[in-house]
Amino acid sequence: MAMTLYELGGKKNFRYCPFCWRSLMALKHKGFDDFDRISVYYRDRTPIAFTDQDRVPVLVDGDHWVSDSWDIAKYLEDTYPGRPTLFGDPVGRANAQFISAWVLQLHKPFLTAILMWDAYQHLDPADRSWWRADREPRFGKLENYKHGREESILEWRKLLSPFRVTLSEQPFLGGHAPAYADYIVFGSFQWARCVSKLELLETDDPIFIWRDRLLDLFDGFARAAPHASA
Amino acid sequence: MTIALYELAGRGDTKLSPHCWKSVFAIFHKELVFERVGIKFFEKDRLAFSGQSLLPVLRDGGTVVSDSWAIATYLERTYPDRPTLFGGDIGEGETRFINDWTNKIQIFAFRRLFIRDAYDHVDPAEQAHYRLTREARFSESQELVISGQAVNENDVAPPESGYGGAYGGTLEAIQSDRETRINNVRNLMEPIRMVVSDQPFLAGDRPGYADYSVLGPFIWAKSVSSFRLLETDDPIHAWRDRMFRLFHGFGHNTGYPV
Repeated sequence: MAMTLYELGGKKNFRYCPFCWRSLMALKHKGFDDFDRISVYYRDRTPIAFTDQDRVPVLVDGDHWVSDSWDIAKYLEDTYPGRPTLFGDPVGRANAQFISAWVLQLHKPFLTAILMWDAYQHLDPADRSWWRADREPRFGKLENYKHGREESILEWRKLLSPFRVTLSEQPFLGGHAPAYADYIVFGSFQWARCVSKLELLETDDPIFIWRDRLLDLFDGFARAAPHASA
Repeated sequence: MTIALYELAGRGDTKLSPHCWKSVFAIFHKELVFERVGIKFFEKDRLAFSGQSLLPVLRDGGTVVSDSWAIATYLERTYPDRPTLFGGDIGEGETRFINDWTNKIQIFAFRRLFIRDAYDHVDPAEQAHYRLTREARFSESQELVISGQAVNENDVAPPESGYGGAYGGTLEAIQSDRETRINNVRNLMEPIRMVVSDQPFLAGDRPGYADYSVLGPFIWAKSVSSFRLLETDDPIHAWRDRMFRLFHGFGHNTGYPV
């Protein structure tokens, strides 16, 4: 039976939620190609009301549903052990948690601020007033985020230094081949690529080269996604 | 065959390198018997057999391995039937990133908290050398200094954003603002905190090399200083205590009580 992934919808056919991209890449890694994708919007969560929570991604597999990208990855790994592995073994699964925690440091405050305005531009138009009302009490006026981003990017790149070292030693976080740890980080880069024309990375950065490898996976699945520079 | 680990040594029994501690724990984890050999700064000629001058160095029978990461992967491949350090290829790949995070972020931040305390544990005959080289490395022109020397890049990572405090100066000045800087360092350790709040070890139910990578700087810190790195209610404190209890309380029995 085909699976369904509920993900955040943006304007037109933009899909940029970083956590949804983790799940999309995990599904492709597991060899699933024919899953359905259903958009959920900030203003209306009724499509996932059956889950008794209001966040995407949500994966539905037969009569089973899972929310939260980490739980979705674990579900896929445990339910389909005969397919390509996301974690390798229990140590690989445990270590991936550290990478997930590290990515949160990449998001706040820098990446969230860098992408705030561009993300706003890529919302479904009917979501804009909801989003502004939700974000501005926490982050201040959205318009404040239109400027100073280049300087923030320079600072943000420094946070990537451990990752840069690793990728100068091996092609993927998973070692010789991509693993879920790669998709954890990639989701954030894909988020940026989908909503923003800003270049987060220099072209000779090992991370840039790694991102290209990820964009090429699964017949260029992520590269083909609608993105801001298209 | 005898296994020997060569470590950077200071005054008395003190060992002075976070990287060497990673290797000590990796060998313990592999349940191997080994001899520990301290090498002081001015004794690097004793490492001539390794063809380089950085510590740690492992000698296992006729095999010589330098660099703590290379030692870990050597142990894993040479002793596959002993408890695993990485689990498998993916675990190894991820652990390498955690180790790089330790080298680029954690060790650098810790070093600035303890550099003057570490000086007190350097052999007195080497203290002037230690002060000269360390103060040069921490100076604003450190990149120029590094370019002219064969130093371990991991040893002197450049200042990354968010560590706070002035940079450079004397060992005393570098360490002087640690009471105000400690909160920045604790914030930097948030990825460790998040993980060990959810699971006993970074590697899961049992410790792995990811844990030893991160532990290395903690053992190094307590070897030279009683400064309180962690609040007792910090989840990292509980993890560290679990790590200190391993191998008959080796960590607890090393250096200052913390």
